[in-house]
Amino acid sequence: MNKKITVKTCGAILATLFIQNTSAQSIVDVGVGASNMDRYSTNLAYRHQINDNFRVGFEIRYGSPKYRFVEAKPFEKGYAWSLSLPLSFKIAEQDRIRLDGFFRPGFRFQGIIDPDNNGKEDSLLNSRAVLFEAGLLVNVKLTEKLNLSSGVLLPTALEIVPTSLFEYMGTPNFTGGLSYLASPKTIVFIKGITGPAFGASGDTYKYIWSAQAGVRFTFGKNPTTKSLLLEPSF
Amino acid sequence: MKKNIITIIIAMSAILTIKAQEVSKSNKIGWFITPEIGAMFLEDHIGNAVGASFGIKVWKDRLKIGINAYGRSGPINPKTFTVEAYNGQTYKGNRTLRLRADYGTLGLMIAPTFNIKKMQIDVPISYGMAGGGFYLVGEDRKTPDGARVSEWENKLMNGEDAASGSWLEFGVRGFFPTKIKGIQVGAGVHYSMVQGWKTYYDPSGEFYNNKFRASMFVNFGSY
Repeated sequence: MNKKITVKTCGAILATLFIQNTSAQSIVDVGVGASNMDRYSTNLAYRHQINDNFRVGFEIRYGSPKYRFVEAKPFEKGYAWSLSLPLSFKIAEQDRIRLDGFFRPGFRFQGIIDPDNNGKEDSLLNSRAVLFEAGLLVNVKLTEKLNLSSGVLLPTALEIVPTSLFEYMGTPNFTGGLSYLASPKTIVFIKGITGPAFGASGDTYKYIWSAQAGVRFTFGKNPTTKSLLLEPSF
Repeated sequence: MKKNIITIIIAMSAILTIKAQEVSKSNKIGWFITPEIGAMFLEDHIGNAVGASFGIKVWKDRLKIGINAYGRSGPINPKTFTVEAYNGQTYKGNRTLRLRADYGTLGLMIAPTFNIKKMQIDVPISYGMAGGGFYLVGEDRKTPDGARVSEWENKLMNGEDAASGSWLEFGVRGFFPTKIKGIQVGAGVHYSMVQGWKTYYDPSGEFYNNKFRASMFVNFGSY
């Protein structure tokens, strides 16, 4: 019974979302960046602009660790990648300025190479974490081709393997970015996140920053100023 | 269970969006997001802080209600502090500990708002929690026995390396218009009080209490 209600509710909501599907558009973002966590990172994201109000997608990120943690202890040599599902939705819009809500649930896989530090890369300590970000994003149309984004983001990481602890949680971070329509189907962007962090009794990050540059390719409908809206990503 | 949660999230997102659009059209409730950088005028140095306030505007934009938070993180504050370890202990052969400080606040904010010509003034009053402490820095974060550094910090500072307390802050901020409606720039001055926050380094609890803070910000919001 519950299952039927759930399926029907989801169906009704999805049907509502797809009504007035006047600006459905697919977007692919390719980005490279650096952060206090990683020497370098690459992001690949697919986003679907369902209508003027909703955008959903998925994002894969790979980083080369510089200052990451397993069991709240730092490591430098290993791997880190994550899969997340960013979702943004319009809350308000007034002329050139727009406010969106933002959620990003995700999962992170990382590990330490040679955890016993014996000089031989003969073992691996794997870690898994649940990620969740919530935020408010502001996008300002500076010109028809140039968009400024800013906002507040509350990032959280809960390590679940090999131990359970909040690696960092919910302190407001800034987001910022610029996107520019370089050609009819191509947008270039820069974006960043920075702000305080806290978690694991103070053993992990005290401060987080991330910067990224990339290219956005649009498919389907011709790009509009809505195509320039940026989501923050580490 | 998971499906129910996902359904609820999607439904809430849809309802929130529809409601917000209705609100935006009638402009009965506005919104604001104000990222800021700050300077905290502490005992013998100036602390660097970053933060943000965000929320809604009601009563024809005469009152802001929201969240105010900022952090004085150690990595953006190179100032170090020294203290003798508790009870004659040593750490990596030294009795003197070299520490950095970090601190953060999170609270509810109300801000009566009024205009003087083109300038907007608000009086933010925030109440919530403050937390912070002193921590080992640099190579000292690599512990000699592989234990978590917080275990050593607890031991070396008698379990009082960090604390939390109640936080009250009031201030005044000036907002100046830009060429783009909905974006303002400005600056403010604030007076901050923290009660119940005491640490091994600062048993008086006065490190952040009764201190001034200055802020510079960009404000995004409805108009």
